[in-house]
Amino acid sequence: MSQYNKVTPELIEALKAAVPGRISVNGDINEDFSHDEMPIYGKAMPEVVAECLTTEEVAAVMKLCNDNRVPVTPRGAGTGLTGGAVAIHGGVVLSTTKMNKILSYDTENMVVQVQAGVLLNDLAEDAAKQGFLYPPDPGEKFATLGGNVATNAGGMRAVKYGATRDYVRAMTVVLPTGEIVHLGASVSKTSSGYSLLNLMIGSEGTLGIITELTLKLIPAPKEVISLVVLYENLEDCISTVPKLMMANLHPQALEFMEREIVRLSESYLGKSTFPQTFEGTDVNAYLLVTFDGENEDQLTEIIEQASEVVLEAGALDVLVADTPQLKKDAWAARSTFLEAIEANTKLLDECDVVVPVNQIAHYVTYIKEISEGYDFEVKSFGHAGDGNLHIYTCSNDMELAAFEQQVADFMEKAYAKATELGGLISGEHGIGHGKLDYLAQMVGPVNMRLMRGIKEVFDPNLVLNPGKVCYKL
Amino acid sequence: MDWGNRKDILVFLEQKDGKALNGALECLTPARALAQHTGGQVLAVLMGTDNAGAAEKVAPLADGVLAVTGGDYSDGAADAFTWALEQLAAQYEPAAVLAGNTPLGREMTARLCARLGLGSVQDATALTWDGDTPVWTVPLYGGTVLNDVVVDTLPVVATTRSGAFAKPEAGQTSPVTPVELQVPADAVKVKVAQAVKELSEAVNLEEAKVIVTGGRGMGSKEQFALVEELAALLGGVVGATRPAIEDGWVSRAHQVGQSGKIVAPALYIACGVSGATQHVSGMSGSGYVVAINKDEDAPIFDVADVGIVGDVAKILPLMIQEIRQRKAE
Amino acid sequence: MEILVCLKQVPDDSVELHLKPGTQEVNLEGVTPVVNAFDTYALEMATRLKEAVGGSITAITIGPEGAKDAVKTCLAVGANQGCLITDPSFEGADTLGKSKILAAAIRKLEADAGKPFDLIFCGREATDKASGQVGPQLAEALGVGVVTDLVDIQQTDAGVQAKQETEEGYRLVDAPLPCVVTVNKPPYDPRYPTIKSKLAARKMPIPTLDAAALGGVAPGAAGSHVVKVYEPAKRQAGVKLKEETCEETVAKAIAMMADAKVL
Repeated sequence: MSQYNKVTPELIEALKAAVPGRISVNGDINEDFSHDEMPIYGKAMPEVVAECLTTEEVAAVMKLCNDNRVPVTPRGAGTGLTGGAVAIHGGVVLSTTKMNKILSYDTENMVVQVQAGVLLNDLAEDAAKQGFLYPPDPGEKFATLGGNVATNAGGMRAVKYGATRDYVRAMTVVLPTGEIVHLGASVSKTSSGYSLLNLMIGSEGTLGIITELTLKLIPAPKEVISLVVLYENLEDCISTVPKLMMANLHPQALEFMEREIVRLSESYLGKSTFPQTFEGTDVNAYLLVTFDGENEDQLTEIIEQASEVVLEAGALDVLVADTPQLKKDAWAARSTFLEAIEANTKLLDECDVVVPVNQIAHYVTYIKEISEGYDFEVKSFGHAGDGNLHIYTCSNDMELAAFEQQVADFMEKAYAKATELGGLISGEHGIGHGKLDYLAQMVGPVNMRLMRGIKEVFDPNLVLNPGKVCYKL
Repeated sequence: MDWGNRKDILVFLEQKDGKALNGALECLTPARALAQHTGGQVLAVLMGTDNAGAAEKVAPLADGVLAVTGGDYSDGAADAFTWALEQLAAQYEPAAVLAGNTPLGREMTARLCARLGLGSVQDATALTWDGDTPVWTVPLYGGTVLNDVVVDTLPVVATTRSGAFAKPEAGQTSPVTPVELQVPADAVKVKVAQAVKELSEAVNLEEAKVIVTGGRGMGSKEQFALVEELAALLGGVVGATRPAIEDGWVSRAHQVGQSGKIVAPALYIACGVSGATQHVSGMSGSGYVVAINKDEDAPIFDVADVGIVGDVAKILPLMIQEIRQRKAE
Repeated sequence: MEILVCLKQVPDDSVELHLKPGTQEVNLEGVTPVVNAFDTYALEMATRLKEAVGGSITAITIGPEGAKDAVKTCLAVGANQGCLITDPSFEGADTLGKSKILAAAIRKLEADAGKPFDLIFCGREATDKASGQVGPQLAEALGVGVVTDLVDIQQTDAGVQAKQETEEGYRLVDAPLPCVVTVNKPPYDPRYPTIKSKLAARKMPIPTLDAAALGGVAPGAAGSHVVKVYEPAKRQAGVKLKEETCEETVAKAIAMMADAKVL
């Protein structure tokens, strides 16, 4: 028996009064609200979707649901990969996508204030117009910033600039009780008690609903250049990474890509971007490296040095993406990996383990070895600069049950190996409910107890996003 | 503007399969406005091996038709066309020479200007007047900026954008004058060796009255068939955005936008199209725009007369059904 | 084969350009100057031809000192040498004036090298003004043939055969050499420079030719003038329909379309 109540007609009326014109119920709810980008963890239709416009509306919905013991699942653009925004215990999905205003820039303190539903892409473009860069650069540009903060999303530029956490200065949060709190401040230092702000970052909507954010910006680098480095094999490719990091050249992004996935994404885009052979040798792996700097001369020096490092380490050749078009094409091929995989795959699961940079080659070799023993295909790519790997299990012909069973076995081994090498089970996608059991296995009962305890302090009735991260029903 | 002794307006009408292209016929409208200021005639120029069919249709739209034969005036014979146009320009001393902004129209007028030392405008989208001086509007930077331009040399040479001007109303039929122009061998430098037809019928987006366009939001080739069905039902032509073409749902000939065709139908229905500038700049001249997209904030809605917020997979079958019913009534 | 590629430096065409508010001046702040996309296609096509039949590619442009960057970009992806044609008196030249200057530069380069160019490549148009005039007008100025809008080219016994896309398919056009060709988007993309070719191109000198070096060539008065620069009126957004059910939404939309007499 569920500890939660169903949504009653009275509650619907109360919600409609609190969020006028933006409450959808049952049959009117768009099917999109039943899943995120990884439907393998199960779909679930919410009973109600509330599309809020203000912090006060969010607080009103939260309070009503808390009082009625109805679960609330906060949701941004629904681009997550672990089922975190899926209402697996029913109740209300609270969508923040209409809270999409960039509120103000404080150019002297270099911060921007936004509503949580602003899309990453919109902030990136708007900040660029003001001469700023918002450094976090997760692959999915049409995710909300609230969602980015809730998962501590990482992305391509994390190798130089760090992940989302490093750019959150303050936030407004609606607690599960309906109370509104402000955490942090637009200052760069803090030693003022427990950092509730940092607790909220990466909490995946289980401790509170983020409604407004104050984010740090940096002056936009004047010049950016990318290199496409060609390798005969993946081992050479990945073993270059620590050497490149040691050379003190500070790449902004450092991605590795294997032949098969590059071809898949090129055929999806209908455009061949990366050379398949070099002077008669098949190219089987690529590094995509981006550097930024203040002027062209400085950057040329950097790419020259970087090229020396990689060529010495066994690269076949180095191509330079030095025009807007070439840069766009090179990164388009990389950025569509997930889309290309999704378009070509019926059954899909993934993990995004993170391992120490010097263990990437070891880890990828291990994954290749064990993947031989399964009926699905394994496709991997990842952020070589920070050891964060995206490993996809794909099948078009397996039965669902067999796929799930084999994937479970595969993932267990993959996570165990990552942990053994000193890594963690997720670098940026989060736990949601898809990875909860694996998290429990990897971090152990004491850590889980602490997380659970924190959850109970914030959410005494356990109504906010139940079944996620650390709290399983 | 001092037109000197120049009065008549020559309009080159490009033909396809014995018919003048609509985009060229539209050119007769600014030609009429010019003729009213110069006090001259609008002379339609046809060049081909047999212009009879086209001449009959064109005669009521102009004050006279010059039907040029006597050379290899076939598809792709740009050298012959250019040479003949130069002869006519010398013989008729026109006040203006106009053509549609097709690859051929653009090449011929460019070369005519080089031979006669003239300025010109290309791809004009409007003609206004500063007293007696014609002022042409031309788009720059993919259409985000417009220039108003005056041509300072005579004859005024211009090409016009397909869809920018209305086709003239038919009036009294006008005389067709046969003109024999034998192209000298040294005027022809390049020759068409082979012309290959790959499509059974040309995709005539520029001349379509109705275009139904599908974008990436159509989701798949199967769903894209709904776009084709609606287009067929409305007697229109299928358009597509670059992503839809790159996903292989339809051939490149259907592309609307900056790297495809510039279109201006009376009715434009955009299905699952987000509304990127590159696309919008190719269709913003449309008369009436209907957009269907499930994303309420899609920029296509900013240019739509009617925006339907909804899933194309649900909306399109309902639209098709409803329109079919209306047609039956 | 001796090949010349004419190129133009234009603002990055992936950026939407607008006027500075209240002025007739295009706001180019922060917009990277790039080689016109169609010229990059022309260079790639020329480079593939050179790789197939041998020869050398020269890249030239008319522009200010900064346009040397455009030539350098080309030197890294196929061009063997390049030069900048620059003179204060060339500013404001129209397409006819530019074709005259280019023709004079070509004759000068041919005289200096002691051999003529066989083939001259241009993009079909520049992404800024898109008039598509310079290629055909250059051919006229040189008194040679022209084939426009190619998507492919190959050498033949008598010259070259060019593939032109048409509405229904394509045409193959034979042209004797020398001739001018203008290039549309081929089925392939321009290549990336390698680190080696990029660094080598950076070090290469780019000679300049001014009006005096070209025998005092003058573009002549432009044949047209701009009287006004403005932005197009934005289309007014109409109504957005989202009724309770799809059926209602469609019925309402169809009724509006019928009222507007577009059905």
